Amino acid sequence: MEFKVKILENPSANNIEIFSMVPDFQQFVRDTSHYGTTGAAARRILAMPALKKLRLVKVALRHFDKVLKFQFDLLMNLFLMAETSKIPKRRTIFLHHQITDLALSFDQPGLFKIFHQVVSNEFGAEPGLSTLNFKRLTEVLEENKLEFPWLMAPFNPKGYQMYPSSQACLEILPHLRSKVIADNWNLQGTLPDKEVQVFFETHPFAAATL
Amino acid sequence: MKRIAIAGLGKIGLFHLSILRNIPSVELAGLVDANPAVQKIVRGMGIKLPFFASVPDLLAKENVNGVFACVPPAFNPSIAQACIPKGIALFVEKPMAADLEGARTMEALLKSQKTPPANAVGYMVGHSPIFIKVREILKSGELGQIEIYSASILLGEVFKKQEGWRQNPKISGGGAVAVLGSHLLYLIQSFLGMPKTIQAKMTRLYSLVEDIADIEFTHEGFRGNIKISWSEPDCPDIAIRIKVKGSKAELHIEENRVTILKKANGQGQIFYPWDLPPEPCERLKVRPAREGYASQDISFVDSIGTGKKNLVSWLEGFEVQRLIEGIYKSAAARTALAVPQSCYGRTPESK
Repeated sequence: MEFKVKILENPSANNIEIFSMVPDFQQFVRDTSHYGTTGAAARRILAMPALKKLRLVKVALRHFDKVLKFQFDLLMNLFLMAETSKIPKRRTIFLHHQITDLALSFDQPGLFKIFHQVVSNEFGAEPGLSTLNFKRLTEVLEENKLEFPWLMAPFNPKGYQMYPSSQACLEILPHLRSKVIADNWNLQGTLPDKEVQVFFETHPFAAATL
Repeated sequence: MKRIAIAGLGKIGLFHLSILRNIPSVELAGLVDANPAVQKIVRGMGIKLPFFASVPDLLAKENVNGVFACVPPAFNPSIAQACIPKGIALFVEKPMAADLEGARTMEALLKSQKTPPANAVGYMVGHSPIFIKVREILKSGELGQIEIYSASILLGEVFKKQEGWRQNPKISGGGAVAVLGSHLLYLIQSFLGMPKTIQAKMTRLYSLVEDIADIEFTHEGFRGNIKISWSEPDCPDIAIRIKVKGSKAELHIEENRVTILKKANGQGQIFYPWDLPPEPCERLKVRPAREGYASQDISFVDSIGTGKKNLVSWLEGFEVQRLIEGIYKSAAARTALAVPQSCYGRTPESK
């Protein structure tokens, strides 16, 4: 912990960059338990400062047909805008893997498209997607001609959480234009340093999470 | 192909929907929610399925093989009443009912059927690879005679006055014990069997129901202490810890590791999730993040019409309900009490 605090005091000197991720998923789960899914989102939006609400209204008007149809891809993004408004400005904003994977489960690529537009245009940041379904996500992005500057997924020598398989996830890496961040790569420090080093030397990752 | 319906489209109902629609052997037959506004939300997610206000309405119109009931526990008995006599398989979210009486009604419905349909309760922790490993270790007898255990399930969720159905024990079945602690109670009865007596103490900090419970279980020849809290600071996600001390070894269980410490030579062995066989969910196009859910849903769907018993059937759900009832009664009486009797004298082991 002390080590973490020290390097985060001066991240750039340690070649470390802090990215944001929305939503605060655990808080989101707690709120939905108490207020329901719609209630939780509505509360978050209502709590936004008036000026920031205008930005949200602008996006809602741009997709007014989706508002009328109560479409998930837009409504989730409005909620994400409310979340993003609360956090400091960062170079990159990631979508939490629970939401990315929910959108994949419900075949909602529109959610990624709007997220890309909102993060780039409204927040002036680079959009990223985090997932536990790396292969499926890259397929969906390709099918929908969507390109994200950043992707993040579990990558480790044991293939843990690499779905559908380690090989399937790794063989995509060289063909991607997106920069890929390896998450959960050291499996709580249980892997030998040498094994991790070889893993990173063998595959084209842009970065790894700390 | 199995025709499946989902009743209750709150957070957990939508989560099951996200899994079920990715199981190739499932055809979604319909959705049920008493709140008509939910239909618009679900349609907005691209789900164009027949929508009904009640399970009897669904069953009158659609041919259904199985129902996932993702409603507050008080409504499970009436859904069972609609499904079981028609031979329709029923998965209910945990706990099985809001009280032991409700669970007894459901068990009686099953028993009245010549060929009971598939049934399960949503204690998905039972399907998590790490807890499957624990069951294996305990079954092997590696620990020797069990001497004592301690267990906790902690979450930092409730730190102010709450609203909603969870605050009404007639609907939710109780507070932290029924809503959160029932997962741990399932694991304990599954790993160590049913206790003989229960002594419980409840604390209310913010809620109309209990926020913290301290419980002592006395089993045949050993005892255990249990702490349940949904008001635990610095605990953003559910944390389950169990320590079991046996005559030959100790077992330390956490969600991300299991450690065996042998008394004879002081040596330890650690099992991590990545060393264990993964959940069998290769049939899913998209895998959900939380462990246990996918294999739970797949195995329930697979059990429909096969006579195969689910890992967490209503029988196990009923045993947990006996523990929940015993905990509330002991806390109210402020004394140790015997675990409420099983209605039919059956136990999961004797089935």
